[in-house]
Amino acid sequence: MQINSSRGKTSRILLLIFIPILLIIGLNIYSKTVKNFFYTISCPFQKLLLRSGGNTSDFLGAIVRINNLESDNNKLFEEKQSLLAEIFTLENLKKENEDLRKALELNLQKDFKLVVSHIIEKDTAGSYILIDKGFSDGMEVNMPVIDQNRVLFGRVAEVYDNFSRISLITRADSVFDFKVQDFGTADASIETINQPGIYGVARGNGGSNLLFDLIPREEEIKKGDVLTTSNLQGVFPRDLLVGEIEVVKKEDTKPYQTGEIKPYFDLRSTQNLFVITNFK
Amino acid sequence: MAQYRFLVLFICFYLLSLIQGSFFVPLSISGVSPNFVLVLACLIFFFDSSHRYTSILAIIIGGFFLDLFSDVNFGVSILSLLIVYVFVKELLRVLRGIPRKYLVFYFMPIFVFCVILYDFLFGAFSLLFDRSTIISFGGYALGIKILFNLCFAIPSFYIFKKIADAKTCKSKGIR
Repeated sequence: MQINSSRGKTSRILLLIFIPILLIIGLNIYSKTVKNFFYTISCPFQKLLLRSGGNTSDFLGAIVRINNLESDNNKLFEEKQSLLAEIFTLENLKKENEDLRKALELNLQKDFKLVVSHIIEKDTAGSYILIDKGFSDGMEVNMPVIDQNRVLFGRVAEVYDNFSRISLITRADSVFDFKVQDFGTADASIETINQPGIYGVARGNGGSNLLFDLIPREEEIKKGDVLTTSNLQGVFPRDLLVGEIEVVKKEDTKPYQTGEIKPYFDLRSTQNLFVITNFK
Repeated sequence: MAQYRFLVLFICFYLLSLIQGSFFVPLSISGVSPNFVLVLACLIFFFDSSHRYTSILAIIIGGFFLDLFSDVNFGVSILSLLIVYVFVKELLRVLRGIPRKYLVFYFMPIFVFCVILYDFLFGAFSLLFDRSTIISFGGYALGIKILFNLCFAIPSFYIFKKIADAKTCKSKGIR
């Protein structure tokens, strides 16, 4: 009787061990099919929840901002004064900007072949998002992903039948080259923008952090400098907006400057993205 | 009863995965969203004194949904939750006979330990399954993760406690 009971216990333990192992192996074999199936079912709910979350975030943000209303008001008045002063300068720069716009051909459709997609999920571990376009829509691994303002989000990391997983530029394994632009300063002109420029390497640091490296010590960079992709290594097309320099670290012992980048992409307010499908 | 429990857990974990992966994305702090699946799994581990079957189901179903809505291979979260479960059970065995009045003070450090352990194991198993994965563990993100999850775990703890107390009363025939 005791032998039967101990045999039963052993077989139960073996079942408990083997069933999950078989389950894990099976799930990994049919990983893409399983994920695509569940994403298809979840897609409408996720879109709805994502939109509701965005509305809730806006509502809570408005409540938080009520306390700062007076100081915001004063700040806006000061900004208005300084903006009025800048309008005069900007009028002169307008002509130059129009030429520059033509030169850079900011019209996205002219530059790239794009596929519009919607964000439906973000991975809890961060640095990944899921979009509702997949293999059937012509998605391929490594295609760059941007928004309507030409802001770079990342690249396609995994493609399912109807969905794709996007690896954000802030992901820890993301490395790409960039060029430092000088749009922000008052003395910026077409000549300075068109100069050979300063190049560096951006590296994701997980969460919403992006770092830069390999900018020679002698180069003059500062907080607020705009960074765009450079396509030196062919990772992304050139002139996509990456972010701006937040912190510059210059050490006597190191040949290169390092620091932090404030990425321009904003997952909170973005719902639609564009995948560049004609970039190789 | 077993199928019923499976169905309830499946629906609960699925809904929580959807909520944490979509609704809470815009509400994230420094890119960190709460992990409701882990919160529910930990609560089940903590309160599931006799029915180990429920905990095993929570590991498999919870782990499945965590892996489904992330970029890792299937099995990473299941194995991580399994190890977290073993540690929780061992801790509870050592701390058996806890006065129910102070149960929450035991739950909080155990839960924090679970979040840290899960985070570490998730990174380690991700690396084991896929060598190209770059893991990031610790830092201020982990602190935010702990606080964010605790905000939801503590109220949920009282709901679970109420249910557990009601069950105990029912089984003892007390009104």
